[in-house]
Amino acid sequence: MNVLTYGEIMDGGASVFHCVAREDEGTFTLTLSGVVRIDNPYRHLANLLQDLREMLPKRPISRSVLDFSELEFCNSNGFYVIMDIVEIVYTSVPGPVLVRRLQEDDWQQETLPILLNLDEESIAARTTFEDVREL
Amino acid sequence: MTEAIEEAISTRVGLSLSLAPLGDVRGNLAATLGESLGGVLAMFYPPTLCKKANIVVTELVQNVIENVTDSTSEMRLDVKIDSDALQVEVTNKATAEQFEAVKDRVEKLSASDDPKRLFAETLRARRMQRLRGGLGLLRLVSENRFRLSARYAGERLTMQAIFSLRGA
Repeated sequence: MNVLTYGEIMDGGASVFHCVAREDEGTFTLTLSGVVRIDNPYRHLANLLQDLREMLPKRPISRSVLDFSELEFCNSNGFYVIMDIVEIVYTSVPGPVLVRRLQEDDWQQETLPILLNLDEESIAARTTFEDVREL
Repeated sequence: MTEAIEEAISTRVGLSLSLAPLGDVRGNLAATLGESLGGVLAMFYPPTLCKKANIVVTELVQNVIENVTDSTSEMRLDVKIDSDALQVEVTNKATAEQFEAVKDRVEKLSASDDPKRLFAETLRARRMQRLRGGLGLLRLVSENRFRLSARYAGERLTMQAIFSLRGA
């Protein structure tokens, strides 16, 4: 598994959010974990977004996994950056996208599909969900 | 989706916090209060309800912090849970214009027969313009099924959010 890039949010001196982009034999995996609670996540994730924009179109990727199952919380200030991240993935790499999300989490069940822009037919056609139970 | 909390609720919890002056706030108060409340409630209630409490406190307190008009003023947070509902009220000093703006948004939300679509449209429009804020209340209704109301007395704005535990 090749780590392509990595983003982190620090809040109050602690690391509270990680986003790791990996590639393995044509599969791109983006894992988001922790909590997005800060006022302006772009301050912390601008480099990650830039890396994804530059790297993904050049990689031989045929399928993607967006794993939100370890993302415990996202405040409304975090919605745009989540939208930016997934938009880069959908526009930069071809193929199906598997979205792993928590089964009993209102924001992942209700709001995440909106952030993914599933109203767009081409995006919906590429997307499947895997609902997982929180440990 | 967690439209109703299926587990029986028998524990009653009431929590109140007042804080002044708001100009003294350092750090992420909304997150700290949301997480702290969620931690306390996790002793008694199912995780889905604790998450709702965490989200509603985070979003309402964040709104206060982002719209402080008087750094010497006070914020008050009241949380109540019983077998019927989770009720959260946040009160702070606000101008009449701020109240009118909030009231308009609450009325628009209450009148919407499809809050999820309203949320999606608002989110996309605000993102296009890179407008910050303005999504918290929508999220509480669309995602978390809270009923919102706003009232104003003596230069103090109170936002109330209620989630029915009886699925109504």
